[in-house]
Amino acid sequence: MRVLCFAVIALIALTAAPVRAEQVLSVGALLDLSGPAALLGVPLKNGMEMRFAEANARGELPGITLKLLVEDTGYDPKRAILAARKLIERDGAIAFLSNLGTPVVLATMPEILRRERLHLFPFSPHEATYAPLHPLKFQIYAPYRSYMDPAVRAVLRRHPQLRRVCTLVQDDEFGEEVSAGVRAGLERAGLALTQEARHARGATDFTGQIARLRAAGCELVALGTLVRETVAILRTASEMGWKPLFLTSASAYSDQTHALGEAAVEGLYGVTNPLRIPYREGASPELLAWLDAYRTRYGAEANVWSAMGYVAAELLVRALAAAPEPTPAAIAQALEKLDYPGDMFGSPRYRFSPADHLGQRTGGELTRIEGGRWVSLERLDGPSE
Amino acid sequence: MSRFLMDPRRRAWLFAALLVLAVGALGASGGARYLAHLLALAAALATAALGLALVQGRAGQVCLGQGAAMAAGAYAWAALAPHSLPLALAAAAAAGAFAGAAMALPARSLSGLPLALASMACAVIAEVLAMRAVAFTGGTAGRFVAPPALSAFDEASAALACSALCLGLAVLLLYRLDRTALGRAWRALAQAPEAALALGLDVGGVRQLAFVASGLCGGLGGAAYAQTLGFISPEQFALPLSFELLVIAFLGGLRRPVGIILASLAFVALPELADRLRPLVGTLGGWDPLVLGLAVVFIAVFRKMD
Repeated sequence: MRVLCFAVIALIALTAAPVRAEQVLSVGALLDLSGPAALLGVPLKNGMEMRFAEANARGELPGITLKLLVEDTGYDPKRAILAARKLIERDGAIAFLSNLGTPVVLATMPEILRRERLHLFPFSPHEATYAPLHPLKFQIYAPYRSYMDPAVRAVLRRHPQLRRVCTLVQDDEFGEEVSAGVRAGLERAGLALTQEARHARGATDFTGQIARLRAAGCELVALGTLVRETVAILRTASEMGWKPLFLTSASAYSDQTHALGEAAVEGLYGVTNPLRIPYREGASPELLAWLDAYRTRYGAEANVWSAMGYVAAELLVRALAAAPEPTPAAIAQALEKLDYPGDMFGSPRYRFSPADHLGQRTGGELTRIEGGRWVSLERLDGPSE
Repeated sequence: MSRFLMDPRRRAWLFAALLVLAVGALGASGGARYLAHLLALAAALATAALGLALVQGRAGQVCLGQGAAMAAGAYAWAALAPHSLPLALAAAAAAGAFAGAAMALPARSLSGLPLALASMACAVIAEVLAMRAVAFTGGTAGRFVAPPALSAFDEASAALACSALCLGLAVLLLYRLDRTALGRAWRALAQAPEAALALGLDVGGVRQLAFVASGLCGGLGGAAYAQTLGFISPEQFALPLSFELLVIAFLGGLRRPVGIILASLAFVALPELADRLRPLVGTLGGWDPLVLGLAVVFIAVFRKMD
């Protein structure tokens, strides 16, 4: 009986909400902490949490305490829908920030918008996250299509002798997006695609595709592949003694690419979408201080996902500071007027307007692996419409 | 009252009911709408699991492909619900029964593990079909299910009403079937398959009909599921769903619908309990499935001792 009493008291203690004089603003995040994208979920959560904690500690938003409520979706749309409902009904979340994964985002976004909550900067470069225009949805990650176009033209400008451009992409929607962007860029540069090759999701052997591209005499191969596939493709090519130029989409812009690929990936072009990997070496004092603060707080090194979480939270904090009242509609109006000039992470300039809720369209910078790390070469800001 | 409690089975049910009520009260702190969502989801799962209980308890077979029947029902409902609710309900039941019939094709000659594996293959095929039939299903991107046009209800209550209707229909169907010659044949098949064969019963055919009836329940469950979630995509109907339903059917017992309904309530409410206990463990990935898994093991052992 005593145990039962104790259990009841413990349950009440757990469910009782703490009483505070300040207004607590709940911000929800549907992240994957246990599924296939868990590698991204944890640093993303840490980055957002860190920015909110800073805002609260410094009193940046008078009268407002920010609270991040993370729900683990396991990359499963069903769990995500239930979690979104819980965050709306039970916790009264006024905004969702950096929801992770296209299946999760597509499943939950309509209901979040229907319940008039903000849907901000989801981790899904899908057109539906900003178009058609909705007053409450905002995006800062451009679709693959829109930045592969300026990226391929930037590489062509650097190597004017290139004529034969090919693609090797994953055989699904993601690969098709990359391929479409490359074709658009080539068309504008007055070239046509020489050869196209595809591979099944999760493939490990690319000998056939490489042989075909080599036979077609490709000089630049644009890749729509993930980290492991990119490394395997470049290794196979180099083992076969073939050394064309390679350009990969942001999906392989990761420090794992050069950690796994070593010498074989030297000279690989890539694109940031849109932040730089926060390397310790050569970091500005400001970035170094941030990296140290992150390491002290979480006992782990920050990576590009932590920085993306931090910047997403930064944009929300700025909009809140500018909004006359902390309601979704007022925050959305403040976002539409926001002009974010960029930061120590290499963010591009983010601007929204009442007619356009995609903050940037070019995917950031053209980068290249030189000396075992990604080096930023130039900002991609050619028109992509 | 004391006589009521003498029966250990009744005592167990009372215990289960108290558990569900307690956990339900936890879920209720999320507001009436959220509770309605949870109840609607539980009813949808119970509807589909009832079919499994029939196949297992009556025909003595294990079906690992109920997700296929749910997918058929869900997509049929999603396509027709905006036009006519009764038509959509009938279509969902028919589509589910059709999927059940497909799973039953090998049931004339197969039984036991080979048949279970064949039904599992059906679930895999259904998922691939749903991915490829883009025009009808929206492919891997999924498709939305419009909230029903029941002006008297809000979205959550409408979904709950729809789920309750499907569950009621499934219970009624099984209750009626159990009192027909077919029901008696199923019982004979479950209790003494050899004797049933010796009596001249068409064992294969009777077994097939159990799969069809089960698929019908699955189709109704799929319709309720689609309406409750408001969004369906092929991977939701993949093997894990079929196994979840099997777990519900196993935990709920095969004899009475009330067991299945309680089991699905507990199945939906347990993640809520895990969520409440989360402050004890912090942000730990995979915490909810862990609690659920432990609870299933605990209940399985507890039931065995009973």
